[in-house]
Amino acid sequence: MNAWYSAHVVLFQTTAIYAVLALSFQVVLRSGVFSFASVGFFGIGAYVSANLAKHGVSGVLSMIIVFVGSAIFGYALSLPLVRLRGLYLGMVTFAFDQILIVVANNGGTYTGGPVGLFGIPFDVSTLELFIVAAICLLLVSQLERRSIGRSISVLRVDEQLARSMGVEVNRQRNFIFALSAALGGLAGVLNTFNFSTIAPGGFGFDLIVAGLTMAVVGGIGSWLGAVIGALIVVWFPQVFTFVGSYKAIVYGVLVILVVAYEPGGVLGLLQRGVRAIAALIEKRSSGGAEVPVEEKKVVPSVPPPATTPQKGVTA
Amino acid sequence: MPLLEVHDLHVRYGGVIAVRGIDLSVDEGRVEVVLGANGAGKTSTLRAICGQLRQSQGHVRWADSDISTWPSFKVARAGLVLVPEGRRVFAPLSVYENLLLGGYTNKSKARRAELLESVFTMFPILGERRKQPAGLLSGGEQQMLAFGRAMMAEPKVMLMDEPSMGLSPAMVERIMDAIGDIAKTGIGILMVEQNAMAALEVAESAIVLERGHIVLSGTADEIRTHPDVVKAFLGDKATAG
Amino acid sequence: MEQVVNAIVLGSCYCLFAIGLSLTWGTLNVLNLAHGAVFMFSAFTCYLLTQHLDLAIPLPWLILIAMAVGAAMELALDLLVFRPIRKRSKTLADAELSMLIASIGAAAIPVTIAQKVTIDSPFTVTAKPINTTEYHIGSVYITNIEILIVVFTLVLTVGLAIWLQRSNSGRALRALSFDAETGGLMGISQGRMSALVLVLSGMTAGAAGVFLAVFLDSLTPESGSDLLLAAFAAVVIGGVGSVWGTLIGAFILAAGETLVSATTSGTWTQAVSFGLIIVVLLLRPSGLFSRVNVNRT
Repeated sequence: MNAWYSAHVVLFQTTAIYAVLALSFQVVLRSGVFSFASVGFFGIGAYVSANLAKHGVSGVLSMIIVFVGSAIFGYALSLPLVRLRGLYLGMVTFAFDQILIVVANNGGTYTGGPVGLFGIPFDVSTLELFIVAAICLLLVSQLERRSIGRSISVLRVDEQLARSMGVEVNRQRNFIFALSAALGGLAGVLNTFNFSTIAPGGFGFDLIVAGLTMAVVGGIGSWLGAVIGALIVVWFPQVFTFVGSYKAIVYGVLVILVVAYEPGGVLGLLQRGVRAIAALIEKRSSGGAEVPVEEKKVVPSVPPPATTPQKGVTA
Repeated sequence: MPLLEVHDLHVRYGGVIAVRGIDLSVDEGRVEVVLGANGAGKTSTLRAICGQLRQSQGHVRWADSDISTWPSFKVARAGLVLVPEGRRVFAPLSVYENLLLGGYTNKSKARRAELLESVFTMFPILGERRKQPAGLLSGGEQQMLAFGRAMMAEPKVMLMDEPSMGLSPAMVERIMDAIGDIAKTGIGILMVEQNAMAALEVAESAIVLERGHIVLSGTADEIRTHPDVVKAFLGDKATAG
Repeated sequence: MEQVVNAIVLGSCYCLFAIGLSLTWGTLNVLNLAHGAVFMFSAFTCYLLTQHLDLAIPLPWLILIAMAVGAAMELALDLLVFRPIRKRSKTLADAELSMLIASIGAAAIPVTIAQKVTIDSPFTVTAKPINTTEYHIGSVYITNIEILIVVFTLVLTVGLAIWLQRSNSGRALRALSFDAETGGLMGISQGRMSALVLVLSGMTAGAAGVFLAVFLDSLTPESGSDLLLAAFAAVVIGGVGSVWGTLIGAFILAAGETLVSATTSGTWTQAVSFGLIIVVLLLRPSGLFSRVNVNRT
């Protein structure tokens, strides 16, 4: 291991943890479910695993318990919530995050109150951290490839259409919610094991902003977006040190810019760039024949590429 | 020069082109009807003219200005008002409030009261039900309300999208009479209709759209007796009743 | 008795804050999560003026300043954030989600600034000279500031309700909230209405900021998101977009919170909001006081 790596190992670790959290945000937002519950589950995972570790439960077992437990809790939570639409769901899940902070502040010895828990015996190596993150990415990417992934994307664009295509909208939503909860909880476990500390401030408003930044700025279209998002959020303050503790402002501005002007995020931008270059090459080789406008598949919210009408342009 | 002039209008939704090069014009006091099958581009044409859709090509001229890029509220303020498909009355608001909203841009209270009186004279039923929520009116009454609401803006031209939709034959006749009455007050009308027979009764001239193109145009009488039109629209309408 | 006065004053502050949230949600389909940050930052500006610059500003002026700051912030939010999103979004659901996310992004800006300046500690607003007079009515103590808060809120709420019901622009706003597209056909500019609602919303948030800062003695940079929770509860109880409902919802919540804090130890009061939100949403998603639920997809 070279010196640069060891000096930055924390950043690599954080990237892995944040990528999992970003996935948690991404899967719900992509299917048009307005949920910020990921951060709440992050907190739950963090505290539960801390308490398990105190009782000598091994790291792997603890991850499994939290992953499965969060999925079940998330599923149960989604049963009543799935009836709520749009902004109501956004509001309730935001409130869910807020109330968990209150619980953490009042949880006595289980949560350590406002000070939180520290000195938690940690049980995960950096390599293991990466393996877990990779497994999560694989899981989500596989999901995207299957038909379920496609129907989820349709859900975001047009619920009526999804229904008419035979997608069981509510069951899909429940499943997505549970998956997001499980990923969020897992990210919390990884965070506890890696930093051996957790406090109510660790999953507050700042984490919601960071999570949204990763999911949205990276690009909610694909798992790759979550990775890009995590890289940006973790490494950006490192590269641009002058940002310092004002990084949340930069995140805020980035989120606004992306949502308002480039809904596909950095990933969408890259994809468009690649497509434009490919089109350019093809145009050259075929002597300027009409370029087929590729229909956007992966990123439903990206407007079609701004090509000028090619009417009448023939070789 | 006609009041409203549309030149080479194109409308596209993503990859689908709904309207491909339409020219038409509307003048004060005249009724022009646009006929065509579902998906021929009728509604898209109206929506593009009034600014609810952005055309991909072509121009819309109104009086002396090019209004192609104006948002719908600005078009409405200029005196070009759309009566949308399905009436779209503000269901929870009362009939009276709906009418006041029609005159939203009219700043003079006295003028609004005058207009209100003339609407109630033309459609007495609206006066009787002025305090009821608009959502409780019948389909025909809602259509009258939609007309009245549009007239409150003192338009020079009204665009009407399927005014007879979902109405009984008797009510269709009353609505068409009302359209004739509106035109008599000097308002120009551009109307999209499925019910060709009824619409041609009140119209002076007509155009027929097919897949976004104008395939026929002429006076109402010419269109009514044109063999293609008889076959395509009037034939089955006539046999259906 | 003291508790009743507290609940009424607290309820007034909640109402002031929640009314803007309710209006933007009900009429523009925007759940503005930056509303809390605007509230906090308006009070924070007053804190900077009175504590850092040591200016002696009487309370009425502070209220006006806070209202102006709040209005300016939310107007900027509308013009720079919501308007471009609304223009570009293809569907209503898309626009709702984008504006919700963007509002959180926007909230990060003032919150971070306040955190930096105060070094994460509570701040207070002191109006100089603040002549706190106590009145005794029977066994009840009430200060002139408390009276001001309650009267201000009631006048504003009643005024707003009348404006919505009677005035041209209030009527236009109700039409817009039912069917924005058709509203455009009436010559109603959604952009101008949106700016108007956000300015109103910012003014009320600003006033609530100063009032709560004075009433509670201190706020923190995070107070905004705590208060959002309370506002959610008030809005949900009263029904989204309903002025009277919000007023009643705010008082129900304040009464509940006062009761809980009087009978339990710890800082569980916020659980009241959460509990109310969940119960109301599960039993009557349209709110306790909403009339016919006009469903839109």
